[in-house]
Amino acid sequence: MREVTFLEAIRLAMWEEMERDPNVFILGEDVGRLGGAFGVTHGFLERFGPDRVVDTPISEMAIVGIAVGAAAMGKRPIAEMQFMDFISCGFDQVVNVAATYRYRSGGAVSMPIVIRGPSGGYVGGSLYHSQQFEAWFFHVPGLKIVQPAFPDDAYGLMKAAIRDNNPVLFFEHKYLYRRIKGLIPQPSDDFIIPLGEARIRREGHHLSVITYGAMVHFALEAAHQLESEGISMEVIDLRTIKPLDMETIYNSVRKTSKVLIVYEAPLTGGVGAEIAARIASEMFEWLDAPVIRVAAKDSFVPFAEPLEKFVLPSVDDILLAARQLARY
Amino acid sequence: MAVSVVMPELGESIVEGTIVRWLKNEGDPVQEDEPIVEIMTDKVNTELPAPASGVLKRVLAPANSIVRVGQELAIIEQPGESTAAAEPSEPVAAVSPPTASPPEGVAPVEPKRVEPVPAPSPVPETAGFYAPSEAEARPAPTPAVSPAADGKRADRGLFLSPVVQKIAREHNLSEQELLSIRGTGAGGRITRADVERYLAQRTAAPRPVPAPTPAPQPAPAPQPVPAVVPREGEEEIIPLVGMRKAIAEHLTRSYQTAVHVTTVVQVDVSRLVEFRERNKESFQQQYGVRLTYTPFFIKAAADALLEFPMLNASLVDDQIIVRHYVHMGVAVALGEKGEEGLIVPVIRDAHKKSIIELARELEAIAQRARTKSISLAEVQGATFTLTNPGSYGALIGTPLISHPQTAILGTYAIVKMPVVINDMIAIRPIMHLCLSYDHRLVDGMYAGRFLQRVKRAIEEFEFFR
Amino acid sequence: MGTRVRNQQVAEAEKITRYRDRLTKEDLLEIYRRMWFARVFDETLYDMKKKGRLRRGNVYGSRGQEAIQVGTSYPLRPTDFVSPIHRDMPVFVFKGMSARQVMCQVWGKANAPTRGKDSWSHMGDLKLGIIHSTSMLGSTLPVACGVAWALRLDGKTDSVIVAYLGEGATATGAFHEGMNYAAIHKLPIILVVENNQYAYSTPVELEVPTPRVADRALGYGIPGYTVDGNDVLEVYDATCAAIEHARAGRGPSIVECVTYRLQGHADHDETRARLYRPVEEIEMWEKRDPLPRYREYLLSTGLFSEEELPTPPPDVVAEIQDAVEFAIQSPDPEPHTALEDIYDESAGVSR
Repeated sequence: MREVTFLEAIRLAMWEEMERDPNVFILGEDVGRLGGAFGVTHGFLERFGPDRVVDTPISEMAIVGIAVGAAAMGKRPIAEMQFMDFISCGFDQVVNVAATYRYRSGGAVSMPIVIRGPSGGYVGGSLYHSQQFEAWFFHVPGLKIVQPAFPDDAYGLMKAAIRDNNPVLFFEHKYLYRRIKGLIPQPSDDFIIPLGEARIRREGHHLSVITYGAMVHFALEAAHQLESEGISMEVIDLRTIKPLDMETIYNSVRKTSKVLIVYEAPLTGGVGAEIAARIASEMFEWLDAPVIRVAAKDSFVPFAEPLEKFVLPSVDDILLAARQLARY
Repeated sequence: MAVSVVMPELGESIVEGTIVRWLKNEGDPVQEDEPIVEIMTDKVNTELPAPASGVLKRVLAPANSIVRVGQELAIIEQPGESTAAAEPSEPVAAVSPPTASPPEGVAPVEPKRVEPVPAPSPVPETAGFYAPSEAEARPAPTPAVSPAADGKRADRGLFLSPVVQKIAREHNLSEQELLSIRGTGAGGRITRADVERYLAQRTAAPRPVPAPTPAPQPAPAPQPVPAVVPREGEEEIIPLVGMRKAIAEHLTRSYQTAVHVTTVVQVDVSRLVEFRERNKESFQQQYGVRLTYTPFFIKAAADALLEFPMLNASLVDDQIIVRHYVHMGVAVALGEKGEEGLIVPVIRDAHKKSIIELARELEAIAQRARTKSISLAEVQGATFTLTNPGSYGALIGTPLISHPQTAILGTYAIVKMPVVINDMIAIRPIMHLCLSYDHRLVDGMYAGRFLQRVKRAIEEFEFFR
Repeated sequence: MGTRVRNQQVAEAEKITRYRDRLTKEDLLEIYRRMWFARVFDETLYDMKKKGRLRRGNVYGSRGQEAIQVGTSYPLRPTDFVSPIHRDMPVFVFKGMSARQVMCQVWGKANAPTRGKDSWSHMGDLKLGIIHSTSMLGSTLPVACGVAWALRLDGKTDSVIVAYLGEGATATGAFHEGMNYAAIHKLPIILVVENNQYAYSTPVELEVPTPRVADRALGYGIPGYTVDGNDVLEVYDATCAAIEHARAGRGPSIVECVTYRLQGHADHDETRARLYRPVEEIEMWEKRDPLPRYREYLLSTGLFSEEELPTPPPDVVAEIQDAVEFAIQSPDPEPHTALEDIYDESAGVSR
């Protein structure tokens, strides 16, 4: 085992996959000479050369489109969005070109692409360096979406995403990049975490928190505080957002009958809305309380600290909702 | 052969068009590809060519009529065709001005998408009890409610969450019982935890229960309308109510909850049969009760259960309740052919009772079951069940566990069979013991050892031991 | 609105080697046959649509653009790639797909390349070197760059890609991002712009600010040719020049083929297409029909007799008729297959 940061876990996963498989290559803005805006591809250019570590122009459409064409030819491209906010510029290539390719080829062509990059707030990034856009893609068939919260998950899920035959959007929460450390296996272990499996990060029996990304850490912090109040909160880290691991969610609902869904994106139309809807239709008879969501306010992520704090969900928001739910 | 002239699809969004004019009249000869009709749509003004050569036999959509894509516009009769053949359908009346409904003969396009709808939760028979009345029904509760001090339902009405309703239904909790539960939720709401705590206590130490409540037959009130119409004189529809419904729901839950495995052993009952034959008359005289095999089986099982308590346990949520006493449920079929259902009276503390006491209690309780004068308390709290399909000659079977118990033991028909004893074939009365157990709690070897223990107790039976 | 004849500037086209001189008599005849294939293909589907035998989907005609379809694809090798758009249906056949497969696609049949999932030209076969396109015109250019990148990683440096776009699609961001990238990395892409003067109803001067569409090449520092798109041999020459440039590792080119869409945008547009365009303009371009022009040229060489150049060649008609009947009799897709091929759940490790 190695102790690494969240960022280093992602970097090592990509590095080891590129060592293992010459079909894997990476392209994006400043991924080569600079080694990525956050350093996630530090040292890659020197090791793998300019054909496999491609500094692209500011062209998100081209970055994703090139990944599509190369994937159709059997390559396994990793397309970096310097910030996941910028994926809007490549949106058409993601949803209309990459996601549909297998379908419109009648199953003849696979799309093993990873589109990855930093997302999320709490870093004073303001409007265009703070967003969580997973819900845009959650709605699109053909895509998979991953957002890990811990180094070991980031490592194992990144390897799985690279080896998956479908376009995988990999959201890396920049707040976690250097804050979170953890142990990851040795390269020789060939460690993989299959996509589509949630993980119970903390067992509990009074209520279930379903969440992902940075919110997992907030939820764990809240669960820790609630323990002293006699409230036992189960924390489910989805890890993969699409496809959802409904079985793990349903089992937890059977156990606690009370559900709190936490996500960092704006409340309306978020991933949590779908989870709540599925619980309502499939698990109605197991509910002992309304399904509650904690999410960002329906706003943009503003710059000034008091504004950002006001908009984004906090540990206190989770505590408040959890107490109400426990008491209900 | 008659050839149809069909309204083509003239654009992605086009569903209909208007006949501007016919360029040919009925009876006119037409050549293939020759324009015969002019059509106007939102997107196109176009002439349609004849799909075949022949005679324009019949115009089905006159000028100015609105026609839908795919609709038949005219019939062309090809040379050499009898006029009598293939009489075309009635002409479509001109639809003008356009109406919302499609012209006759054109199937309206139905949206095909069907959302899977979860089955609605069954309405409890004792309606009005689980479901809050109109006045009681509250809007979606907001969580910001603090618990009421007195723990009673206070002013919240009887609001029961879906999961509480479900548990109440599964455990046949009466309204009275539910009311007696202290609600600890917001505003004194009864929470899932409250009900489960209540049930656990009730199972652990059976409380006196209100007077026998024979399954209440609701007034001739709204029975569900049968979804099927029975065949006159050959089929009849019986609504699922009362005991049958309770059994149906209970067994479904049992079957879906417990992981059923059945293990079978063969028991040589020579000694027992011999003992009973010798003593049945004196027993009757001395103790005033008929000597049957069942008390022996209860005794053997009860003793064995003390040694194998996991088969006498219950799995509730993630807790295992292990009991060191045996409340033995004994299945009693009702009605001559068993057509009136089944009831399972309970012999409490069976492990403490002698064969004679067991025989007496069994007879009394079975009698009350048959006459339906049994109290609710007498059918609750079993920790293990014995069933005797042997009474109707069954040779072997797989009994169904009664949730939340963990096992059920079936005693089957005693039949003379050839068996090998000391390498010689002998004829012995043989019985099969079939144990169904919940594999979640009990593994095969444990169940097997238990069966061997019961088998030995029966085979080596000593009345006065 | 006056009559616009933009291809008068064609005369100013760069001096291009006469690659046509290497064509044999058989080549010239095959080119003739292919042009007729394109014409009959187009006419057949319009006819099927009007007669109600083709009930679903639009027919995007390419009448008048046959010289481009044939002239740009004829020089290609089996190892080369194309990314055809909606007005290039015959190119699928020229690149190796059977006419039957193409017709099954038009009819949305179970045995079509997309198994009935997508319509018309949105199909491909990478083994034949055909890249799948979408309705977002221009979006396939970055994809073509990706194919080129994969070829580079595999060391297959002698394959080229002919990407097709209309003049309208050169206004998209995807066009710019793709061309920019291709030019930076000298990718072997030949961008054929079929300048048929209209993007649906919008005339070229509302799509492109420069006198020639090929002037866009200046921004990328690459060659840009403007040729008479109704002269198959001129198109052939320019394409060959661009291919030679690409194969030599010198990067992409733009080949603008000036032509005219004689029909509407699609079959539903026939009436209005005569309203948003001057009738004289259409009539003038009818006179420049590439098929008679090529036939006259062949006859003028003295190599061919009238009988050798039937209008249309009967085998072409037979091939297309066979394909149509085959498609109509082919099975429709089973409804449940609509949910197949959304994901690839096979083990996805490439090594």
